[in-house]
Amino acid sequence: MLSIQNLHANLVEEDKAILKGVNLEIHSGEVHAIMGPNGSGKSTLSYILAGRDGYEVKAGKVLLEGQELLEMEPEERAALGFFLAFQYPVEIPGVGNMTFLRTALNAQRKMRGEDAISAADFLRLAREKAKHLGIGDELLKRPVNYGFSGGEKKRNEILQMAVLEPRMCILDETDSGLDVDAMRQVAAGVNNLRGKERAILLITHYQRLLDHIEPDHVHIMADGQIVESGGPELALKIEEKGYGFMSGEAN
Amino acid sequence: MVDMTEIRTHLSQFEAPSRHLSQDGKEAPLAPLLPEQSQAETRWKDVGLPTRRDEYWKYTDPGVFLNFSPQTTEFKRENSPLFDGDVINIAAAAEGFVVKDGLATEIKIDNLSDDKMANSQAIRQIYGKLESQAQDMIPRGLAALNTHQASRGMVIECPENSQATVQLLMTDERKVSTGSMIHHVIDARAGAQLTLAEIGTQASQTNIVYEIRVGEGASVHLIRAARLSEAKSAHMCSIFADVAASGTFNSFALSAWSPWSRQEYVVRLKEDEAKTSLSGAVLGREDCHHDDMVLVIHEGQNCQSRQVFKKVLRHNAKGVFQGKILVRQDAQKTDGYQISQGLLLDDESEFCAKPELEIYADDVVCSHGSTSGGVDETQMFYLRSRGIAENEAQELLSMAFLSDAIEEVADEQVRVRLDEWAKEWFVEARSCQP
Repeated sequence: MLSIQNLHANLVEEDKAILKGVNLEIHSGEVHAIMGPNGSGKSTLSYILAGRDGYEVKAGKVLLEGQELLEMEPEERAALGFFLAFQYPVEIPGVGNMTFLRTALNAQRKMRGEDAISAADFLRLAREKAKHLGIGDELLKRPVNYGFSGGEKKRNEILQMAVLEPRMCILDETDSGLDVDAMRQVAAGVNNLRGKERAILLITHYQRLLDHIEPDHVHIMADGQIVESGGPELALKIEEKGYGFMSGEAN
Repeated sequence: MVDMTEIRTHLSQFEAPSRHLSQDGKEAPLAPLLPEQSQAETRWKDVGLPTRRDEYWKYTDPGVFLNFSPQTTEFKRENSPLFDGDVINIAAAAEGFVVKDGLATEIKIDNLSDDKMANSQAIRQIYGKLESQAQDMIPRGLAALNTHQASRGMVIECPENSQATVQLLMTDERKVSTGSMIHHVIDARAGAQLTLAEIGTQASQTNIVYEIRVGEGASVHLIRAARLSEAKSAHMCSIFADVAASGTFNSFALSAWSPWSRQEYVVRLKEDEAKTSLSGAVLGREDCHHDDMVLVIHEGQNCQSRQVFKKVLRHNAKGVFQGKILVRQDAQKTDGYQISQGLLLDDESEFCAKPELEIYADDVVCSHGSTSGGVDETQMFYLRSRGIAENEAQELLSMAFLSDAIEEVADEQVRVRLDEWAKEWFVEARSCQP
């Protein structure tokens, strides 16, 4: 599904290397987790994959379903099935959540050569998906993320994922700022989306989220590289010993 | 001293006032329609026509309007109404403004050019009065000239507690090859409620004046918007409103398809608890120029005023906003708000703003703000990361930007339509090259 090969990248403004040769293979149906300390390059990796400006890829390539991801516009990546749940979902006053979601879904359908979904069908679809995530009509009608609580913003990201049905989902610190109940709801939403046709990559600091969404593979990222990979037990080791011993090994 | 040659040249662009023609079609000696018109002559001769040196014409070249060549026009599409249903539709015709459908049972609508208007109470009390009192602070030569020369207009009298919605439509084709000077007078007596939508103008060049008296507890809502695509036009509109105790005057204008427009507002909140909301949404492309100049004068206590002007500009378009809240010494407990914002979709466009507060009372809340900038890149990325193409994302954000101004319109049906029109503008702008 997603193949990251020797990815090197810099911050354009600072000309500072952030990713220093990332390699990662994710197959359909798998759930991966990347853990790592602050500043290890986890979020940068997710932004580069989504196509955010401000980064320069120095070397390497990324294939999504065999296609060169890095050469596409962000909207083309989305239409191909790529989705990033933002660490800090963006507030857009003046744009209704429903208008946004329907515009996004229809834009993707159009790019894929599919018919647009009608307003009525969309409303039914969105309401049904929202219900599972404990999102009420009121939240659907409000402007995108505007005035949402931290938990509401994260649930809104998962709602977008549920409606758009991407095949490759990256969740960037989706657990940050969530209380236990909100985390359960979000995790249930994500688990609901697990399936043979879809791959999920969780980016997180803590083991906590992985108690609710059990990954098949865990990777440790440090200083712009994946320094160790393993099964769920690796996350437990980190929880127990901290990242300190990892950086020691990496060095 | 006024340059008469320049004025004559400017006036030659406009239709001759109908009564200036004698039976055999020859030009008769200049005989004004109304006594009030004669008095305006000294006014514009004192004030003269605007020049670039005038403080409030600094960002807008008056020469574009003064030297415009009016022309007949065929529009690219039909104009559409803003209101459906129970409204009084009025069409502009050669003989004046004619009621097309809807019954004006509660209110009275006359043509300014009717003989009987010389004796009308509304004319005697309002015509030229509001315009004239506005001259002492800022010279408004074009409005005074209009008061003197206007040959057409509506005189709308709303009796106490009457209610009406009036829609002024225009034909889909402009057959007049001259400019139009139009002067509307509105008298809304105590408790009357009038909504007036002006949809399109009759000529490619217009100098329009509204004089509106809002009685105690009365409300007048004016909406000016046209869906017409105009290749070449210049529209000047001056709106004067006096608002009595607990009265409301609201105005909204959409300027999207005309290449040049300037609207001047002078609203006096004369008595306690009066309110006004003045708002405008501008969509400008391809060298368009849209100017709004606002003066709100707080005289009564506990009055509220809002000014919300939003301008989306691209392809070398220019937006101008000059707005002032003036609070007189006795106008305690004033609540004044003003925001003007330009959204520049490229590096060639320009937004000029001059927000002003002048406050002589000590117990007031007044704020003014102005911003100018491009679309938020973080928001753009968020929308695009969900599959929305760049131009569509830009449109969504631009519509969101405009929504604050459109939200000022009370009627939901009208808001929805204005939204549709604005969206239409974006679709057209996609195919237009700078």
